[in-house]
Amino acid sequence: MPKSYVVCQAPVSELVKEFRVPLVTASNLKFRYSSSGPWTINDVSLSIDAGTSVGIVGESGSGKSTIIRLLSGLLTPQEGVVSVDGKNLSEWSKESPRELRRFGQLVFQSPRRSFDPRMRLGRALSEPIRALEKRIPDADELGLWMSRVGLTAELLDRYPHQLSGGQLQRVSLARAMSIGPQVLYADEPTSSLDVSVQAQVLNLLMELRSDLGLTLVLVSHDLAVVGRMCERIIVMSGGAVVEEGTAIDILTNPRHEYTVGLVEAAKAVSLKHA
Amino acid sequence: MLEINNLHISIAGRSLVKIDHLVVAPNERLGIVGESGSGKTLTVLSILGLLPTMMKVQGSVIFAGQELLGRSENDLAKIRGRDIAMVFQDPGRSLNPTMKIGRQAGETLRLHLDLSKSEIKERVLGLMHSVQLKDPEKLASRYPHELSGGQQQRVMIAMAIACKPKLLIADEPTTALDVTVQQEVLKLLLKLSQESDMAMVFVSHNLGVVQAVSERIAVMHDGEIVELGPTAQILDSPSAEYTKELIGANPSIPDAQELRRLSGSRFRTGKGV
Amino acid sequence: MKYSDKLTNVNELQSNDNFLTRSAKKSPQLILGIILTGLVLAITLVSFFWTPWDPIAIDVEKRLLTPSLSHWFGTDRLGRDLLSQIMVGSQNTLYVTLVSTLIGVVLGTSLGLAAAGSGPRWGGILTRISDIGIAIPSILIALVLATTLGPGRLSVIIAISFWFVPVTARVVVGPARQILSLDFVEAAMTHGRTRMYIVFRQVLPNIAPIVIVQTSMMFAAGILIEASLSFLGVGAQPPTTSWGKILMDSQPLVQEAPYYTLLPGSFVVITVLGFNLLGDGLAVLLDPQQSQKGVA
Repeated sequence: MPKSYVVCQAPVSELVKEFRVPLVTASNLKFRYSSSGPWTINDVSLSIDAGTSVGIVGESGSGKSTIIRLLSGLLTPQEGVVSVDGKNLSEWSKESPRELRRFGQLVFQSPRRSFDPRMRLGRALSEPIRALEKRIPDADELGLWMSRVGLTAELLDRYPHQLSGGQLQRVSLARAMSIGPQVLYADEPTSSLDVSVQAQVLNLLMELRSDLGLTLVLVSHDLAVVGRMCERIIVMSGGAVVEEGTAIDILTNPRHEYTVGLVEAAKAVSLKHA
Repeated sequence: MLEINNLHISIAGRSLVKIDHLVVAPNERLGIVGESGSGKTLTVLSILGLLPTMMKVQGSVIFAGQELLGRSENDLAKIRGRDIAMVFQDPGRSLNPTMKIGRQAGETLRLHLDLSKSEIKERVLGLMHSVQLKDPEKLASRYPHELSGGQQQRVMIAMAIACKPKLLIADEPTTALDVTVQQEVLKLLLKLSQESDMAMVFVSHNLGVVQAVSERIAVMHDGEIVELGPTAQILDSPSAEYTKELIGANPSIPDAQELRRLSGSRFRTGKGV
Repeated sequence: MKYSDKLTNVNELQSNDNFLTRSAKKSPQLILGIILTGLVLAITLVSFFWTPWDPIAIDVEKRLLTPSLSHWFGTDRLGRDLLSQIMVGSQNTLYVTLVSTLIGVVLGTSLGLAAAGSGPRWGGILTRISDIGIAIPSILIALVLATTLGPGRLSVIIAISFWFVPVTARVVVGPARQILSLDFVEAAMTHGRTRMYIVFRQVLPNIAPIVIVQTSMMFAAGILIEASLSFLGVGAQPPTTSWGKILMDSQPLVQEAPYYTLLPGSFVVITVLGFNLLGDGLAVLLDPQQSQKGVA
């Protein structure tokens, strides 16, 4: 597997470029964790088109992790509406929660914390299929998914603590993709991984995306990653959307003061090639 | 000023770090890059004798003409914080949560120098000022958890430079911080090092960060120094395979040209939307 | 190889011994605990089939004989063989303690899990209820029950369980909440698992070590409580006997016949010690896997 970055933002097909259809939209979302405290998400509206890859960037406290949980339905907003494929998320969640779960899956930041330490990986990998398709996948099916993400089937017998962070994150990608979701929400999927492993995992993510026509929502604090993987970037700060646009626009011609500062700082601390 | 020779760190017979020779000149900024497991942190911990007791250390670490390895705790305690100072990754965990900032910042002064209470207080305020903390008097009476990550790290740096050490070791000091704060802290460290004739060893897995602060880089992999030389030279024309891989894996922010290339390329179509 | 890999491999390096010797090295308390409790359990089991003398055989002429070759532990105030009495008494003591502990662990764990899994409102209510339960001493409950239901095994069991349940719940809640805050629980939710499933299939196995240790500790405590209650006359009623009852009988005769108090008392001590060591040893052994944090 190539160790350097070859990821591309590319939309799934030229056709999709023409007919941009909003797949996930948020309207005037407001959310807070405690009933009387600051709003973690303060009146956020955004729209994610089908087949695109969108990056949500922000610093700590910007609300980027929270927004992804609101969009995927893990959290319920106190105000505002999330619409998925035209349907109201909260209604969908009440009527057919399983269908909702099949629609969008998440990948989390820390692969180690994403796995039950007492569950073998084979079992962990089959969890979504068991719960959402109500069947038990056989060893062949699981093995197929493992090779899809560049791992061998013998790892299925192991426990999470026996694999490296990069390997675990691949398993969690396989786990998320195994039920064929339309949207993948990735919350800082490579932040806790070693640098050389990051590229591999991200390349894998892009491969899966293009193979399966996935819509990708990627949350990250790393502008370099987002710039390479996402067509559109949404910049968040303090629970609100500060700026959004194409990656080119945001990175080369940021308009909002905060974005300008962010891009400049990111450039200052990232590697400058000759 | 600092010379490491034949450093060999092992645990239960397993070799962890093996460095033949490494030198830090006075007022030089050296960056040590490597991923987790490369041994970079162990190396710098061994300088100050801070390795866990189950690890065996052999070799020689000479600082200002004196051998540091094998010295007694008492001797090392006199050096730590005064001649060699260290800043760690997570300031939130390095600060005592039950002690006010002002008091903590003066710890090293109290330990190593013979100053009166008011002198210490004055110096602390001055230090906080030199690390660009606004409202030092107000901050001094706060507790660590009331400060932001960036402020906490600045306090750590203030504590480190309090006794005007000749060498500052920084182990991933900016990794836990937001990008905008990282930039500021890096600028601060560079400024402090240059202005006060203080050498700096900067450890990180992030090449970009190391590039910004160091004149020389040592690339570590699996416990050994794989490449060593001036920053610009190593990053522009690396000779070691591993260095090339590391550079390839550290992405820069794509510029306009690259962005256009990225968005224009095509993949084969997958299952339709 | 990553540094963290190196750390775990080192531990594996040293385990050329098999499981038993490794366990013994890691926690000698465990081995001692197993030996002691095993001894006591063995004696109890044997008592179902055989005792040196008939435990109920009263022979007033033989009362208060000091330990001798024919009566290893001597005789009690009614001439019954003390060793046989103790052996048979253990049946009752252990039975009562076992039942109470089982009730305590099962109900307590369920209560704790429920409290951890429910939102702040219900969680708070359940925690307060268990706090109240912990605050009321079982002896008080037992005395109240004794006057209403009458003394005997049932009262003792209810009294002890009444206290065990909230204690277990309290011990379980913290770790359960901690596990629930981990990412893999969130992941399970995204996979469509219900909260019930997550609590019982994901949280419970992860807090199992804590529950196991708690069980053995409570068992030890239960023996003491049962002994106290019987000592107060609330527990076993003749002809059933228990260690506490024997101690109660022996109390006025402490000066005349010290062995009468010391021997059953020692049995209590050894059993409690054994179970405590067992719990201690298990705690060391069932320590969660070495965390993967390396230093580099």
